[in-house]
Amino acid sequence: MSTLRTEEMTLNMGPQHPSTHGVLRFVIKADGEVMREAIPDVGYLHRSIEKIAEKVGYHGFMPYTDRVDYVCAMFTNQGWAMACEKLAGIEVPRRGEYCRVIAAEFNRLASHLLTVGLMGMDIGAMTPFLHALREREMINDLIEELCGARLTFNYMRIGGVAWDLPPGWREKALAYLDHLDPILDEFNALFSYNKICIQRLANVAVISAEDAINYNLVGPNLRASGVKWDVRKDIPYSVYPEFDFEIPIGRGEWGTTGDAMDRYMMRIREMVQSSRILRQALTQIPDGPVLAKVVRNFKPPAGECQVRVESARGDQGWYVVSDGSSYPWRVHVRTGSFAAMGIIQKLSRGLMIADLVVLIASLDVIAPEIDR
Amino acid sequence: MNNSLVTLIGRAMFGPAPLDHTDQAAAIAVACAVVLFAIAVPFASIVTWVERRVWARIQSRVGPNRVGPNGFLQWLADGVKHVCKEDVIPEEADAPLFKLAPYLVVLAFILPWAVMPFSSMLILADLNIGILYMTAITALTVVGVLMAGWSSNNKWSLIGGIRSAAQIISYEIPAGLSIFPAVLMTGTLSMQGLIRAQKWEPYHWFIFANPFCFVAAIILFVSTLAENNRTPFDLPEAESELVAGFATEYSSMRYLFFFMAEWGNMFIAAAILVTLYLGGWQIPRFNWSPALMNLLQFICFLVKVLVLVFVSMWIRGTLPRVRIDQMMSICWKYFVPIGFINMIGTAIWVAFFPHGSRLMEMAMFALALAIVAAFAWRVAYFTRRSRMELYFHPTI
Amino acid sequence: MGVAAYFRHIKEAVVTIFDGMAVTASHLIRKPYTIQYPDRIPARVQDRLPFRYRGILDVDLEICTGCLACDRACPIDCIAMAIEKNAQTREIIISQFDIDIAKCMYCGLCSEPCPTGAIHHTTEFEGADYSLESLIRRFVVEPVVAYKPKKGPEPDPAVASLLERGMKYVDQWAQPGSDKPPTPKAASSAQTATPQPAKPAANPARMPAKGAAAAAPKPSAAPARKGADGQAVTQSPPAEASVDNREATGEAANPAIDTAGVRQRDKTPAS
Repeated sequence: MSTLRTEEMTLNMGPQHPSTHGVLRFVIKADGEVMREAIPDVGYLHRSIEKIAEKVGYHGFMPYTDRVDYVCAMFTNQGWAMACEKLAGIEVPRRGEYCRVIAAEFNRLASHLLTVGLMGMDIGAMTPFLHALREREMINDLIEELCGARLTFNYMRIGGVAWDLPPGWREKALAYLDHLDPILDEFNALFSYNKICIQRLANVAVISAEDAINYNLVGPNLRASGVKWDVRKDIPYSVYPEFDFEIPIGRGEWGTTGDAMDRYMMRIREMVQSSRILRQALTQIPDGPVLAKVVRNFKPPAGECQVRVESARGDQGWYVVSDGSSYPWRVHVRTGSFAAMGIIQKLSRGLMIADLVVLIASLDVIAPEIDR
Repeated sequence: MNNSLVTLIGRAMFGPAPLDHTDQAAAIAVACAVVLFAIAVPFASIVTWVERRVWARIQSRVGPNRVGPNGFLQWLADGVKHVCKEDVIPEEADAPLFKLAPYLVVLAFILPWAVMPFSSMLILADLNIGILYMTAITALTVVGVLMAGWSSNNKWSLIGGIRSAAQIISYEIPAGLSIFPAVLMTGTLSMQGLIRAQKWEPYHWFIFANPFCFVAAIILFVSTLAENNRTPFDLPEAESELVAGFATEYSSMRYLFFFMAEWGNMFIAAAILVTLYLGGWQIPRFNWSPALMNLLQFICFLVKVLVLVFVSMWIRGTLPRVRIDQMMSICWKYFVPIGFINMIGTAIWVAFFPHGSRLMEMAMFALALAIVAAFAWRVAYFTRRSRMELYFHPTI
Repeated sequence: MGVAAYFRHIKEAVVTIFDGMAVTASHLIRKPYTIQYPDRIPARVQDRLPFRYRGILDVDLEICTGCLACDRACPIDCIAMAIEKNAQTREIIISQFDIDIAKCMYCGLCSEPCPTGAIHHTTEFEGADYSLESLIRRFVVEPVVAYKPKKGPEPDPAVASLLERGMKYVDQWAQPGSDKPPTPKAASSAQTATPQPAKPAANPARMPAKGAAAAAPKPSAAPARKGADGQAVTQSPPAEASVDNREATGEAANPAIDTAGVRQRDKTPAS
């Protein structure tokens, strides 16, 4: 019998595919269920936010930073505020820094909850997703009370934050943290330690430490490969040096170091650490003003600066060039998701189509952050 | 034609029908089919509502509760909506096959009801190969699904259809192997015969007869989940991977057919398990009128089936989906070898204890109770541990 | 794969699935978290949102000073204002104050610099409409004279209550460099981790201010007051209902909301 003629199948995954986390597109070359290659195609969500910054001024750009990464907008807020403060040499009051850290860490919790929930949904379990979103809703309630919005916070200002903690909020936040810890255990029992989940995630899409560094991965994706790098510890900013917390790294308990399971568990572990930071911050928070004096017509001196923030999706770089006018001359954001997209093509070779979904979810790419 | 019909019907031992009148027998068969269809379709639809409510509660939601009392009529509203929608057939699709596929799937869902042993008398045809017929007919689904996947002319559909074919055919084997232990113990393939061999007391059900039967019942349950494309084996319609799998291009009534068949098949799968291992319609004997006894038996059977259907909904609310290669390895590396062990083990068991071992029955029953107790303890642990009173919006 | 690994896989699968099923079973007996949004809720969502909630913008023209700070602050120019200065009386006439709700991104940058809290976010969020035109809110029907802050207390009670609410809104914002706590001390001291059914809430806005309007925070909610006055609770406009009902921690929040009206009705005549 002569050999059967087979051919590769070119599949178009996205931009309206249910599991591409926004508007992403992958061109998949597949041999049955096994992929030869998946080529990511970005740019569907480009809104030229960096260019907008050159037209709306320093104060006015703050709400736009919410849209850079709408899942964890506090970090983009903070990055922009820190960049402007560094340009103009403004010192933020200590209570303001604490408010920032509290808001940002709550946002990290919310973002990681979404990530682990989406991982559940992408491998076919709806329940973990909705349980995670339920917890995220509670955090959103807290943040809503803090700053009046649930998604596009616009909480921070150049020189501090726009609102102090409302009365009674601290106790409520601490009560929520007491509630979260058992819920995380329950979530682990429901999903993370489930055999099917481990089988689906372990040893899938392994990123070695060298690859992670070479492909410029940041944040949880980098740490899952065993590289201990966290901007909060290594280039400390804000009041993070005052807190006692650990940087979890991937150890490959379930498979190989740097596999999808490590990247997934990294989020769970970081939530535990965030909870630790929040407890300390909420109890240590000093009295005082939360906002430094900043003129409305903010004109930083000519110059350029670069700041780094450890966002939920990793090292986020803000580069601002000022020409001394009230509008920035150039703004650039360096985001973790864009870097993570680069490695997908390499990792996808030999994976199954179902694994591509796992890979995307484990890298935690958020479409608006890729394209900005 | 007429003769073959007579032979076919004559073999099938109709309860009420006189066998010498072919026309009457055929009429009765058609009437029964219509009645069954009228039962089966609303049942499959109502199950969708139950599933959505159960699922919602598992996920801290409320679920559909607007149409009718507690949303009970949601299935009717959904059905009407689907019928009213535009029936889109893609231009590039293979139209005849595309149209035929849903009917084949529904056929595979309707035919098994013919041998459904609702009570000691309420059965359309107590075939002497009832259980064999059941497994053979339910496997027809694969033809419809594969046809749908191919004719849609969509790559996602095709992958879904092929996954479905691989899955259903593979899991027929462990399912078949798990039927053998019960058949070995009774020596009959008739649905009623299988039930009559068991008694109403739970420890006299075949699932507790010996450890092999216990494992076989579990394998049978999981295999039927896979055959019905239920989570964790819902790969053919994996919405996060394949959009909607083989049903991607379907809309309107045709789409409804696929899902009606899926939910209806849950009932059939549960009925097979109840018949084989969970005592069927067996209730304690009373000296009441046959009609009343049959009604009680029917209720007993229905309750057992619904409990199993509930379990499969609950599994769907809990587990993620396995990957295609894992699905295959679960089948061929785990279920098939264990299924053979069960079969051989039961054969040896029957050789040693032709009438069953009372001691083992009680031991297995105690084990099952212990499992349930351990489970209840875990549930209580999780309920106590999470402080749900902290919900900020506890309003329903 | 060795024999041990084979059986370990089976054991792990059984145990973890058992645990997962226990978690979901425990959720079957818990309360759902979601609410039945438009109708099946004890109180309107708008009434339960926090005071800082950034909903659709509203302008109290009576206390608008016509300073144009909001117009300048808006990064997307969704506020269109026109003012004229009367040379003789040195009054400012506001002839146009339009807000394009379709453009607005609810960032709050306009209400931040407002000196009197005239432009502020309400807790109203249902903004769907049939045309883009109707989404432009025109607050000036005919040109009005802008508000001028008085030296002493405001004589006109209607304007005073507006101003009081406005200043409360302004007080929520962080004051640059000031050590002033954002809300009265009494409010924060009463807040503890334990659930408090009767908690200090925001002063009800626009309620008939009879002397004690500016006094210490009252344990009340705006709908409760309205109920005591014999009006229907649900008829209160959104701007009046800007009360933080969710300050109480824990499950007591729900009974507090359900019974606040009743309890308050009993208390009001006594006080």
